[in-house]
Amino acid sequence: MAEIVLDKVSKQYPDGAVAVRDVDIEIADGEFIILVGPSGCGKSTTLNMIAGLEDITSGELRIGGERVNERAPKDRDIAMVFQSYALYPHMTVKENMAFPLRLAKVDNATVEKKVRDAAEILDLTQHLDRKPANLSGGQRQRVAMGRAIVRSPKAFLMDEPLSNLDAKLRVQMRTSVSRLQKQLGTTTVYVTHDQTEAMTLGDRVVVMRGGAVQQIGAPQHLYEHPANLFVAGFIGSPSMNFVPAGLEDAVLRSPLGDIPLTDRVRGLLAGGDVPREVIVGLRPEHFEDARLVDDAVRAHGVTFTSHVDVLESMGSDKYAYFSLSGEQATSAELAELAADAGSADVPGEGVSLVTRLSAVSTATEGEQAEIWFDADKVQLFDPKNGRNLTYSGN
Amino acid sequence: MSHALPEAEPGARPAKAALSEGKKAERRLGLLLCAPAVLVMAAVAGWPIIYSLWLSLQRYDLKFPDKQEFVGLDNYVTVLSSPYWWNAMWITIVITVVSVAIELVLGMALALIMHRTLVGRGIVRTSTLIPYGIVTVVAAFSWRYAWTPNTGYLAETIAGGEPVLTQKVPAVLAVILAEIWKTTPFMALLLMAGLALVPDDLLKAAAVDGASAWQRFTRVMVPVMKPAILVALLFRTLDAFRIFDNLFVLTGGSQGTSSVSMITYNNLIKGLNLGIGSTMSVLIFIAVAIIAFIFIKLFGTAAPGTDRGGRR
Repeated sequence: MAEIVLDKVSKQYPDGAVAVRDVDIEIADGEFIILVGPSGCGKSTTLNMIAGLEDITSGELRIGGERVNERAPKDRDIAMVFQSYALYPHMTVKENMAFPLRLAKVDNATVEKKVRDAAEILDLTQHLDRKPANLSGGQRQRVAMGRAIVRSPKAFLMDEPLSNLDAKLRVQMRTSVSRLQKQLGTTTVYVTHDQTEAMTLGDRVVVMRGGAVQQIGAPQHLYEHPANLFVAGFIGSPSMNFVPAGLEDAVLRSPLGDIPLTDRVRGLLAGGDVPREVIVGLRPEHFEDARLVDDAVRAHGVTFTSHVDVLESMGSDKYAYFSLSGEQATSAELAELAADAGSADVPGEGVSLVTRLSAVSTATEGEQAEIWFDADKVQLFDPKNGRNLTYSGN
Repeated sequence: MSHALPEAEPGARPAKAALSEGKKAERRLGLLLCAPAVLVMAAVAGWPIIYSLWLSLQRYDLKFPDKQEFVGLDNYVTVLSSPYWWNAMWITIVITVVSVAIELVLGMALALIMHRTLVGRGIVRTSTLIPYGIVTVVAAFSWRYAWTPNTGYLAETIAGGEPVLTQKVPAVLAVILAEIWKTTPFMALLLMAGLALVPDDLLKAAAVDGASAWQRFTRVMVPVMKPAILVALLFRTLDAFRIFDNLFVLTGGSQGTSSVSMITYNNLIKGLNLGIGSTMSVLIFIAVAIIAFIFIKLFGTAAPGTDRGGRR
């Protein structure tokens, strides 16, 4: 067990392409940290650099206080779980798990004991003599985990370990990975492109984009206080709504109507250099059916009436989708998020909006509905650089 | 779930019978479609095999055509008790084993180089394959000239003017060298296809698990590509066992350097002894069949294209 420090770590390929730029992360001993971002954001490269599978162009990597830049993977005492599991097909489950110990020349009795223990933890005891080809996806995944834990390494590195499982199993394995990590208390770096995994698993989450770290923080902190448009759009499902607005005096003129600036928002904006055109960010849960909101609360927010395009009832909530007339919010960050989600070429006009309403709401698909939202919850972003103008830090 | 399985079975049975009706028709169509190819194969491969089996049971020498008669296994007794045959057999086995072993090592090294090369990949691969692209007889002649005293560069430098090709052991070594030079690229090509089957993640995982480069090679790469290695070995062994052209050009079989193919040729074509010659070719056929049997049954070599889906 050890802490891992990335100090201005960069990766540049011989052809000049920069995959990772000046990444600073301090991972505490026993911490579960998640690297998350769209594909090509450099998260896997960062993980491979920690593992020693890719060279570090500049900067320093320290594991347990020692510089390990020049060390081969085998001398770093770390274990890695791959998306493809990378099980040795010619070895049985037992041999797979024992492989790192055999290479370390551990005596037979200890190998036997450690493999048994790991198999017990992962519920693999009855599969020890089978070959990987005869195992299900979930079992293979557990063998890969088993191979990592038998060694009691300084750290676990996991590269999208659950991506090859089907949805239901993935949720199950997510909790067991989390439990296992708590139980062992081993420093873990986990790479994923799935924001749900990032939110649910990590002690802290590192959001990356284009090889650079966007924000590091606890999942809840990232959700409530995103540092920029990218983090705001990436974290949360369904994602935050973005609406363009013009800032005039103390009022935001938007397709949702005029939004008054509350004291909190005004306080955060004060002193900053605020552009006249901004992007308003609103989480779906900050909307509500206006009929369910009492007058006192209603006064704190803004009400608008629109046509319900689609209504999805989830049982506990209802998701109502609207499309409002007006220009869509545009910025480089939003374009990248849309491209990653594959929604860049979904045709749509105007501003689309997702709202989460109470299950008791009477909003109906195809009809007008009156919707209220809390004006105090708005986040404002600079469309030019994506900065959160209402970021309140810690 | 487990008790649901037996219930499902009686219901599945009639469906199975109905299916086999369709299967039968499909099989009949399959046989019909194969028939023309089978007929051609029977004519060009099946008949000669049967005919030479028949010839091998006769005394049949074209120099004495009148004395043709059925002699049973007499020809086999004659051949198998002949020191010339056994000498040729040993020469063939030595050439096969030594050249294939060296080719495997060199071929693997070449395959690794070709697999790893990033710059000028095409040039590296092409230049490696040049020896394999040259006609064997042409290459053999160039080796013969090179080993010829007074004029050949190898004879003058390495052999110190000695006539290498006229002494048994050096001549066999020269033949083995020519074989290796010629067919290593083929081995490398087959092995490279095997290397491509080893997933990168597997080698990365082994590196993180603590394996050195050599351990990654011996404990992960070689076992995973074992099917490809066995196929390469099988092809090359069968090929090497039938060695003829290099020997024919380099030594002509003199000084007891004949291979089994050489003495078969000498008896059958030069000596016009159809009976003895056919016996020898049947024996070669049996030897080749034994080699293939050992590889497939004992080592579990999968013929290309029949790789079981289970192994990954």
